[in-house]
Amino acid sequence: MYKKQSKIIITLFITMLLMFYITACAPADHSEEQPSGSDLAESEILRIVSLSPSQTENLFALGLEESIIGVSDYCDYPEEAMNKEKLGSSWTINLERVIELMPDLVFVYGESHAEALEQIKAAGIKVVNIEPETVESVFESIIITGELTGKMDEANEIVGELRLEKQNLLEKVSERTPIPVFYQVWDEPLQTAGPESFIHELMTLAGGDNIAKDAEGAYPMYSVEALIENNPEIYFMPPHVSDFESMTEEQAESIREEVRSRPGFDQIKAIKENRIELLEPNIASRPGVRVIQGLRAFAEAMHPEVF
Amino acid sequence: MKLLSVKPYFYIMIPMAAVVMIFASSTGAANISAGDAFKIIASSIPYIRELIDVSHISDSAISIILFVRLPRIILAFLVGYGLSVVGSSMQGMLKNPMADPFIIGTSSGAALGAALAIVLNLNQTFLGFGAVSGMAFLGALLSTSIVYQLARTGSRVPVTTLLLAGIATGQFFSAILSFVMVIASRDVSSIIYWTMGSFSARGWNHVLLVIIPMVLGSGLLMIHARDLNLLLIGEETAQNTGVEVEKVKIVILIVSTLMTAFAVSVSGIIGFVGLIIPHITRMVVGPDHRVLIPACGIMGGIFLVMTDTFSRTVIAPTELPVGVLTALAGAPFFIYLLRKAKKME
Repeated sequence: MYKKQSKIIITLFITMLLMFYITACAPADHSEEQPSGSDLAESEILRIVSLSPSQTENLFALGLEESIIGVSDYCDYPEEAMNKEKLGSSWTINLERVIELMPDLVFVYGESHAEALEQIKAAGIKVVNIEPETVESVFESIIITGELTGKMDEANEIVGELRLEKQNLLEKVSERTPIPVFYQVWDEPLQTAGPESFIHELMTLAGGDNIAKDAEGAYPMYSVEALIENNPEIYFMPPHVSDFESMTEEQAESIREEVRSRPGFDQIKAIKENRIELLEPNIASRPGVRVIQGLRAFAEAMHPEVF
Repeated sequence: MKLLSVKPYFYIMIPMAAVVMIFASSTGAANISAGDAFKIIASSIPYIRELIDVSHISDSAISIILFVRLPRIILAFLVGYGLSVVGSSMQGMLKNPMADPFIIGTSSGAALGAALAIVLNLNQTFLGFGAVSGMAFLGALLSTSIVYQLARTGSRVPVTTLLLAGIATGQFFSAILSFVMVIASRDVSSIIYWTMGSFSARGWNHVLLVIIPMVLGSGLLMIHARDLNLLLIGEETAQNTGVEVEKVKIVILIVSTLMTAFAVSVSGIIGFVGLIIPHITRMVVGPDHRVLIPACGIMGGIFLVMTDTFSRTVIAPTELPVGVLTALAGAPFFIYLLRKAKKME
């Protein structure tokens, strides 16, 4: 008797599992029943989800604050972005919630989570990958975003200003001889910004000579010996603190002191001349609308005499 | 087996270690000639100092050799030495060819500790050691003591329970690590680099930290070499011949754990060395722990210095995590030895 009962329970359980499985596999049917934009009055406003911190910055800059209904866990700029609903990141998308929200547009950075993106597309949602890797492609991505969201004029205006600012900065540093610089991504093991990284381009444009330009890839491990031998004049690093804005001078000094105390570092010019520059990591590495701010930060640190 | 008959092995191994370390100190990413490197090292030895002129060599070259390259080589040797000594003792004590220094959960605990330090932005330093090293050390001790408590029944520590508790705890800690990496995916590459092991940016303070535990620890394990030999025959037989089996096991466990924790805290998780070097050495010098343990130490040291030299020079100035190379270089060699041993049978 007992055995029979448990058999029935198991059969039921398996049936239920199968049913769940079948329904879960068919998100497309589900979406067709629901019209996109539940309210007709609101259907004029675009509904946008941005899973990329840099794209969120672009959207806010284009004045699309009201349209943004969800952002990634890492979207922390501008401050208003923190109030939006969090939907994971480009790697860990909260798929069900994104589909449930039925946005018109989903912006992602990189297509590393391809299966999830396929499912979102299958639900009838437009997915746009904005993954700029150079300053020029940041400008292009802002234009593309403007086209997709009906903010063409704003986009052109922003890019125009950014280009002008970039031009000004480049003119200022153009007469200067490039100075050797190093960007520390991580300390143990020592990791730097290699030639394929966005940071490398910014440093080069700002009149710097990245000593790791002959390393491999975007963020390689870098030899301490080569660092000392190549003798950079400025040592850039993002401080590993939870909040850059509220970092005290004392904290900054202890971070610099830690760098100075590393074996052999006393031979490096940047350390001797106390030019360890702590940069806000998101300005330097986020390929969004603040890119020229990052360029300016690098240029000012490298060539303070022209500013 | 008489100990005398294996002495020739040490006559070969010790000079070999010296040669490998000298070669390692003359190669690197920096453009310093081997001759200058020797001169710099010699010039730091008292008495010889007066005979050598290093005035033509730049200060930065001297710094690179004396404060970056040399401590790194010695540290690699010590870590390789420690992991192999622990590995051979563990394989003997657990009577399990799959045993290595990490088998009782040490590595996953250490990795979790390091990951937490990375994710929580702990950047305090203490005597030149980062929070990552400290947390890795604590994590290793924590996970191993959990395993030990789980496996202990009264005053006994049965081998099978120990192995199973080690696997379960290891999996549990790995699961938490995965969770941490998902939550803080921004730091994933740093965590992964750490878990692959590296001697990048290590100085003399790291050498000073591990040299005493490694020397003392391996000494303690060698004292118990004879007991380990008897344990290989069987715990009951060992007990009958006067070995306090449980006491020996606990001593070996504690010493091994501490040595592994120190090694991991300065280098990250370098796999393979503690597993394969004992096997390779056993094929050469035989299973007598009195010979095997010191021989393993020297072989492990040589092996890790060689792989680390390769990892920092092969695509210089880019470095590779040394843990990648230990398996890449060691596995084929081990398979070769295994096949050769089979054919000889």
